[in-house]
Amino acid sequence: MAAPSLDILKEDQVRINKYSYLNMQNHEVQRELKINEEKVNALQDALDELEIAMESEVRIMIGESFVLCSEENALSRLEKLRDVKKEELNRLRAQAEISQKEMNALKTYLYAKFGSSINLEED
Amino acid sequence: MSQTIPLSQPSSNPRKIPSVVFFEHVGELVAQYGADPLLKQLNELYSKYKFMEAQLQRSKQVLKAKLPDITNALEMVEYLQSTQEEIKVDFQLSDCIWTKAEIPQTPSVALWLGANVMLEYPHEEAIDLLRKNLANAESALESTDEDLKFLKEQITTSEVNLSRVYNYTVISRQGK
Repeated sequence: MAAPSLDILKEDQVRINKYSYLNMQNHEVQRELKINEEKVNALQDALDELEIAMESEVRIMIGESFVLCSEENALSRLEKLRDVKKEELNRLRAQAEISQKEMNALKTYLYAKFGSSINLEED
Repeated sequence: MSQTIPLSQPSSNPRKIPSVVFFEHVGELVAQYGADPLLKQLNELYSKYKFMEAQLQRSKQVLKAKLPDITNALEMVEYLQSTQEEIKVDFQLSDCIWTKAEIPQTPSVALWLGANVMLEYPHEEAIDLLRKNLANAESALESTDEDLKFLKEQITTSEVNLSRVYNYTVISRQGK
């Protein structure tokens, strides 16, 4: 005679799978978020240094080399880059929040249904 | 004599990765095939999926590593196209050695195509080629991600199947 907790409905399996996938995706998003944050900070630092330095010509990194260009050019390029990265940052943060909410909802449901037969914690 | 238990089935996955069969009642399955063959074959299937997952993760890393090269090249060519006069650069000659160069206005650039082949292109064509390469790399990355998502589902379902069969055998043994 099968114990009740051994029979699982298809929709519950789908929920478990969803949770697992969201978890994996969340890890990746967190990694990207960190990289992106560092990039934004680096760009902001560069902009601040540029303002303080008050040079007429600076070297700016394009690709893998440093190109000599006027301060205004450098300024506008850096500002554009920083804004793009900031938008990415916001997008990533929003995504992380959404998946976190979904994961919490799934967690509540699954724990309520399966109790101690299921473990959804990070190890 | 072992029979192949139908634990996986063809799926709609574009790369033809089979999907795991989901069964609601463990008891029937164990009664039909026997716990030991079930566990053995479930484990084999699970290992296959894990192996595939590791493979895809590796190729994803390779793809991700290629992306910066393409974007750097694209950035430089776009910059070259946008300037009207010669530019002065500091570029890396070798590890830890940087040197200055003056790049006059040129109508074309040379792109490294791999396999010791370098081809000269006018700016526009170079940018087109690089953008196409970037799009290809990004779409390859996307399909790898799609496959990884699909695999993750199969792996989770396999893990649940394994633990359910195992728990069933434990409980039925206790019941005896």
